[in-house]
Amino acid sequence: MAERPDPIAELTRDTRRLVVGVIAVLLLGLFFLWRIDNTRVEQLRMDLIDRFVPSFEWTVRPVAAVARMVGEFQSYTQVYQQNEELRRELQAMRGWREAALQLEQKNAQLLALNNVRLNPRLTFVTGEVMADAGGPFRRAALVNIGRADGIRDGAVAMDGLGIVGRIAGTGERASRILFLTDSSSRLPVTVKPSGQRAILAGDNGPLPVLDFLDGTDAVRPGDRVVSSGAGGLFPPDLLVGQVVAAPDGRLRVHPAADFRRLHFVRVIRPGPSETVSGPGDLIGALIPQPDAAAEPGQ
Amino acid sequence: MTALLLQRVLVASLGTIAIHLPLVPVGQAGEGIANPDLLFCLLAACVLRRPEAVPLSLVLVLGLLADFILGRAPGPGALGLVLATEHLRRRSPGSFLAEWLRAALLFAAILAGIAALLALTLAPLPGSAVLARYWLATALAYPLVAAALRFALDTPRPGVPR
Repeated sequence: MAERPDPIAELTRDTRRLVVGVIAVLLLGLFFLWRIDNTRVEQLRMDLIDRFVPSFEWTVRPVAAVARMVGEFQSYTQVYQQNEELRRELQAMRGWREAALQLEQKNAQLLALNNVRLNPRLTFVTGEVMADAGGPFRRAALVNIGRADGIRDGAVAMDGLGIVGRIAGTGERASRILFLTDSSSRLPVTVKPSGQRAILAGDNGPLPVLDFLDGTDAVRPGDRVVSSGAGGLFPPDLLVGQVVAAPDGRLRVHPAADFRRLHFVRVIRPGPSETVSGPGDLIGALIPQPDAAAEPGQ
Repeated sequence: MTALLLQRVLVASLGTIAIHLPLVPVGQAGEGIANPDLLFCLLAACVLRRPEAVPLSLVLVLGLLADFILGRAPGPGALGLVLATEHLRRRSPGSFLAEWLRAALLFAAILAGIAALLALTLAPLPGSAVLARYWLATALAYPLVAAALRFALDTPRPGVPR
């Protein structure tokens, strides 16, 4: 017996197709809106995250704790070697500490002699990494500090040692850190000791690339890389990492920040930077009008 | 009716968990193994077993939430999920192997679609190796999610008439 097409089933199927088509158009529209008006959609994203993620923190936290415990249990097996290693390191560090103290004293003396005025101390807020918002398309993390703590877009985030990334997107109580390794991250850096400027460009891999480096001869693997402060976005002389030569022949940077154990993050609050307004008074007062200058001669 | 509502609530809460699991900061930012897309595994496995428990609106909301919260481009991921579940909804699940293959191929198609859309609009694109790892992790996670779903929900095996 031939199956008769059920008109009602056919109608619902057609309606369903129409609904799916409308949804597809709307979603594509949202995507193009994101490409065109990025900041507004990103603000919407941060508002959503602000609303949802902190309310889920209580679920995320125990899972993270268990995962860390498992990781730390694995390290128990190597406790003896680690202990030996730490003793050796401690011995070396004692020597360095002595040297640092002496240098600090000497530095203080020299500063007092020279009457140098240093830049004001950077102030920072430390937050806890709330969620790892990374994935194949993004390298980012969410921290539990936001606009309420004085965090602004573009502020630099560091772990104890080196730069982690910059703030890209702030909510009221949460903000997103775009890692150095993200493919849309660009950071002006200086390679020490040669002092060459370069741009550190992330490519979603673990080692970002040193780009726009003029003359690679003076740069050796192992050189320190610090932020250059060019562009005024980042403070200068914050440690970024070390130069490594990658197998693909490019110079890359091994970040000093430990992305694998990112727990606390320090976000540097840009102070009220003083701006120089006006041309300055070096030129002197305005030139007198020609008729006013001519008057005394008459 | 109540059972259906209960199933939908269950799928919705499992989906929310699947979105939030990759957010757990265990700190493997980029290196090593990739996190699988658990939401895709969950929705694909559910829609093959209990299509009525996974309404279109739920897929749309979960997909958009995942796109926004996981920091992906908003839109394409949700669209991929909607199209994939609509495709799977009309299928009668065969053997598990065929189901697994179909899900893996669908996920590859979604990734290819998203990558094409990003490339077309000149957005930054992850490397193909990263995407391949992501795909592999998701494909490997699919049987685990399906098995967990079977034990947790006592859903019938695919192929058994409902």
